[in-house]
Amino acid sequence: MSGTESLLKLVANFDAAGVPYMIVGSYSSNFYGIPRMTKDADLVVHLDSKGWQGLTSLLPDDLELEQQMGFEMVTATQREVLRVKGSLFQIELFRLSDDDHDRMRFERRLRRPVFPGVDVSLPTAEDVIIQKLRWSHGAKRPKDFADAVAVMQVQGKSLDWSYINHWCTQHGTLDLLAEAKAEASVVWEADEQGGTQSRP
Amino acid sequence: MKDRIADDARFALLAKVRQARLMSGEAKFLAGFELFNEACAWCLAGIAAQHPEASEAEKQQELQRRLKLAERIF
Repeated sequence: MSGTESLLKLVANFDAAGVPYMIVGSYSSNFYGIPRMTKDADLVVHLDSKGWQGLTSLLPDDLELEQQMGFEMVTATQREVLRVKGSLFQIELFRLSDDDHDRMRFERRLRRPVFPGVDVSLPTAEDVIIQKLRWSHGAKRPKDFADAVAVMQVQGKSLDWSYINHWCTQHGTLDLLAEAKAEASVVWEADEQGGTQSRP
Repeated sequence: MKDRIADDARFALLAKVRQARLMSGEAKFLAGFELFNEACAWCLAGIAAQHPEASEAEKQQELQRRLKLAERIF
């Protein structure tokens, strides 16, 4: 069983049990941007303490809960790690926090088709950019910045920039946003000159 | 030469973006895990070549060590 199949089984169980969730991290940036390899899938899940304790009942057979519960480092959100049996791939579950942007992006999440007849919940492209820049700022990981730029490049200029600016101001990431826009502008300029054409 | 490199990099980037725009949601959703699997397979092949005496468990252990290292670097 692949990591993606395990992920889809897990979110199908969440849907069946009425547990609100969204797939974030590199799966969301791969969806809107340029795919890159990832060794984990990240989910934000809205569960109360009781539901969080009963999490194991929602896990498909091929997933096991790592014993030690932890906290994500940028926003100190509660986190559980699920291991895909027989694989190094893992799924990380983050509890929906009280952070303003975490709440907002969760409210704005969308159902998107990923396979015929299979829809999953994902944040908007704007929220992926905002969160990736926040992580780039907080965790100093170049891959988060590259993911944000890739989403901007693939989505083109037609993003809700006032919304992105608002949250980047709140997070102190306006400088990073300006840098990311400068990198993405190579593609936007090519789009304006007739699209991203092949080399002659 | 510098101009040529910049030009090549620009075309490579535009090709990458064009390809990403043409990919289905399904393909993009699968790509992260598939690329991870491929990368692990290549890395394991490298470990096996460098350490032919290592057991399967030792090779897996080295792979995990390298993945943790990658997490710190990227």
